Amino acid sequence: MPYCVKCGVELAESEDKCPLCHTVVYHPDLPLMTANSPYPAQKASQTESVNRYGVLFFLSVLFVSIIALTLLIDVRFSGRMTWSGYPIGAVGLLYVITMPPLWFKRRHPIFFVALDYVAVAIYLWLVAFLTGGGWMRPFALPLLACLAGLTLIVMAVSRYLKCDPIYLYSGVVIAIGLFTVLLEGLINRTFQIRETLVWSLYPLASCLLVGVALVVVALCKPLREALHKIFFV
Amino acid sequence: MKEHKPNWLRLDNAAKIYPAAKRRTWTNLFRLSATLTEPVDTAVLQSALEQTIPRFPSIAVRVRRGMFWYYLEKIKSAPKVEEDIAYPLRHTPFRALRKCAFRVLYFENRIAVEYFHAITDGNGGLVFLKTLLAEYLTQKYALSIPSGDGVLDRHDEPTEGELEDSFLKHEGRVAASRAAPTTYRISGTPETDGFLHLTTGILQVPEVLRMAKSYGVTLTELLTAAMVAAIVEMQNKAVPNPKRQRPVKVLVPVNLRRLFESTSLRNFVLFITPGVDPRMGNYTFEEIVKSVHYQMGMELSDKVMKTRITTNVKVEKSIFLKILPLFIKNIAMKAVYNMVGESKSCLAFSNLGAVKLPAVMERYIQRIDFILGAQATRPNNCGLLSYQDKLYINLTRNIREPVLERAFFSYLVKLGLGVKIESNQR
Repeated sequence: MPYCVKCGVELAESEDKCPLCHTVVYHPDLPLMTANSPYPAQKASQTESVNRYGVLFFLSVLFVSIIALTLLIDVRFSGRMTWSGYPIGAVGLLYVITMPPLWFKRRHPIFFVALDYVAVAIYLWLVAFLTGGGWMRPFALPLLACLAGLTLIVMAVSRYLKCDPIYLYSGVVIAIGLFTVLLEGLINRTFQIRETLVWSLYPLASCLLVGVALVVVALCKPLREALHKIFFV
Repeated sequence: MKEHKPNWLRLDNAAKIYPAAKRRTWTNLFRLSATLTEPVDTAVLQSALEQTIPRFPSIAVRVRRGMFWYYLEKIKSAPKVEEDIAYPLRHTPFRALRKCAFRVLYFENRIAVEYFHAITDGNGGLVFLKTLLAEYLTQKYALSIPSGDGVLDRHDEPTEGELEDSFLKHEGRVAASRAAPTTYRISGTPETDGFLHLTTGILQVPEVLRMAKSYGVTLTELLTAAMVAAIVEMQNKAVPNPKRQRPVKVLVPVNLRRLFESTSLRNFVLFITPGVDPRMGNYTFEEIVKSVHYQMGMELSDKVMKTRITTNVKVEKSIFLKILPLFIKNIAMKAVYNMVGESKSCLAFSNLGAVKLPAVMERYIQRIDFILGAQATRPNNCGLLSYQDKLYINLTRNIREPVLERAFFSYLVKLGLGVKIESNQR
């Protein structure tokens, strides 16, 4: 009759340690117990999981139904396809943005984001085509390419390089400043507004100041600690 | 007596919430098992099951989905008996419930039946197990076992009373409020693989009864008070600031067949939740025992229970709820279950009482156990019963840390009760 020295309970012959406190059973005058456990060793887990392909199929059918319905309404009332290209394109864009994680077993965030930018570019091209605008190649495409490049670089750096995140924030802030300059430059060139840069220099200057300040904070540990003490939440 | 053998049944009033409240990792199940003096003969067990199920048209069923409600449909043949696994009450997906709402398992000397709570309660389940055991022993040892002590005659036809939803029959005029404070929540590291820890405390019934008598309370009241006291101690350690503590309450199911005239084999239980609020101050064990005794005494009357039945039946009869399609009803009922179902008590403490068998059967059955599955959002549950002169307290948990088990059983030892512990620890 072994007892747990911590809990004071008697232990069944099947227990080699106390089930309540995990103290190993030991008694110098008693042989080790050999009784079988009241339950077999094997186990069968029957956890129910959501069928990923079932959800993908259901949502895909839902998206296709919305597209078909939109097209049907447009053709029914206008006799041909008129306005439906915009909502159909938007629904397609929404599908590409939300669904890819269900296509793959593993998560590929960088690939998914790149795919999203490609889908946005295609949708903008569709809008430009339908409206007869000439802004896609000189304006939207370089802007989008720049934004995509910046996002993907930030994602790759944060994922694969183990650097202090404050340097990353600094780089992002400076890149946003430079992006505003590009934005104004492209607006000026495409829509022939003016020859020189005017408003974008202000956000550029602010971003440069904040970016450099962040680098200083990253380099100077005492300053960093002092700021942390004042601003922690 | 009028015979009754329907092909399908509506869910009873208490059962309606269970299919709606199920989730991917949880279904409300309980187990009743009997340990024989000899290893189980699986062929005889299968044959006994096949002979027994026609007598129980409300238990030998599968759960089906209707447009507005779930319903129970008679199964055409008995399910295959299965070998037990390393833990009781493994998760049962809904696709399995659509085939059969109970299963019969065996391991060495033990026969166990696991029920989906929507088909019956502990008392109905016990009648089924006893009748199955009687049929098994009859076939195995050519015994002549009389009906009685919860064993039904397998050759009789089921009666209408056994299949009735007794809640509907005992609806009153006044409905009770459901309002109750949210209680202390025991927490720990969840088991990710579905493993259910079972810790059984075995006590001597005369010893416990002697102690209960010395406090002037019943056995259930004494053990409920010990459980409350153990949880209060746990909360004092986990949440030292009394202002941030919560009430400690234990859900004690009440077999309504003892208060109302009913022979139903379906769900006919309600519950009371005795406990204490530690924010009011420190309680001695004597104070907890007294408090639990008076709370249970006040609640345990047919009149109070009738008001609670009325509350539940009124909801079921609401025309608004009736006409909602099942999938919307499920969302609403699951939300209600999440809000009020489990948060009003720390765990269930279900005592099936003293189990008696016909004398001819007792020679072949050395032990009976009652095990409740863990709750959906709270990690512990407790089922107990006494058989012959032993009390079997089965505590289950789906977290790694045996904090409640240690607190409770150590408390019983401190009170002076001898406790023998057995488990399925890995």
